Amino acid sequence: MTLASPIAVLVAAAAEGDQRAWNEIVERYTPLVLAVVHRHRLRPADVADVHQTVWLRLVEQVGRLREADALPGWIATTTRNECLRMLRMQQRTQPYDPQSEDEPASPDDAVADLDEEMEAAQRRQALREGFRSLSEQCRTLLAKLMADPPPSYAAVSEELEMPVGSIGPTRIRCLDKLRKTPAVLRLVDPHPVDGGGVLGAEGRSGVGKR
Amino acid sequence: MLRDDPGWESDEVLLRELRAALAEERDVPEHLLQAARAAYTWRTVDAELVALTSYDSILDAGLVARARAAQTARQLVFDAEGFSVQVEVTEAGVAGQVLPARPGRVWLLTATGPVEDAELDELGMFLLGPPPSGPVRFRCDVGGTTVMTDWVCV
Repeated sequence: MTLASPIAVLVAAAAEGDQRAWNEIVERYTPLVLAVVHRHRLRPADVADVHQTVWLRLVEQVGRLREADALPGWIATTTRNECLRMLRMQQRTQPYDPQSEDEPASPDDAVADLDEEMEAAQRRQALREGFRSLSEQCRTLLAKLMADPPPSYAAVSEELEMPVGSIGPTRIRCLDKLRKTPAVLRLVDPHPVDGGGVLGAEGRSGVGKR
Repeated sequence: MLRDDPGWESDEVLLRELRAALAEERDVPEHLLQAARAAYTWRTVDAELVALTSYDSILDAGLVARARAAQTARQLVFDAEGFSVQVEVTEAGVAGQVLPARPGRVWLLTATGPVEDAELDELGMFLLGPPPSGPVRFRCDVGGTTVMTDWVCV
């Protein structure tokens, strides 16, 4: 199990009882759970309860997912539903105030906002997946360039022992590679090849083994 | 699939969103990771059926609107093939029924283990105390079969 293991391999291994594969799934997807949870203004204790419920449910479902690619969507949707349950429970235990301005103005608006948020959260998940599968050189350079405030190319050049003139082109090349990783392509390409893994690489190493 | 173009053909936009994505990963509290890793100890063998939540009064929009001011019992129905567990949760505790009715036993489980159990009566009904906070599930041993329900916060 390596940092770059495709999710299909991890899901298959977790379904077979491999705790390490499960741990890796937890580490990769907890940020997605929390990104969705944090849109719902839950109390910290409720955040922990929702988070745990989602993972307990996934333990049962991990062997039933028809496609590993469905995992991010399953996680986002399950998290959202559990947040909704939690919010409704809070409403029940708090006295209802008809004057309250906390009520969502329109359920449709709230849902539309949430849909966008869910999509953004899954997009960031895809970027993390893609970033993970880049070469170490790309990951190191992009991490440096993302620093806040942005460093000068001269500083980056010195730290990474890289000619200043090659930083710009390498940055372009690395971002291009990121766009072409299976995780990112899957999100952007409206016509994914059947069986996940648009490039086929993931299909060969992962799905085919199941 | 994306409904909106995220604008990732721009290097600046892509890098900015990547930064936000990686920041989310750094901000994860360790105790949440630990709880999620530990969840795996609940992996059950295939022989155990899992009853999925098929009805939850708290997600029943019509009911919520009608019953706003009044405190109503939380009702949940878990279904598996030819088997169901219906429970009603109030501050007083849990009242439930396992169908079809057969002799058996029901356990209330939390993520750390069983907290309470009760014998099913001849109608398949059972009573348990108030459930603790956090996710719980019911385990029913009926006629030689073990059925676990979904996890749910009640």
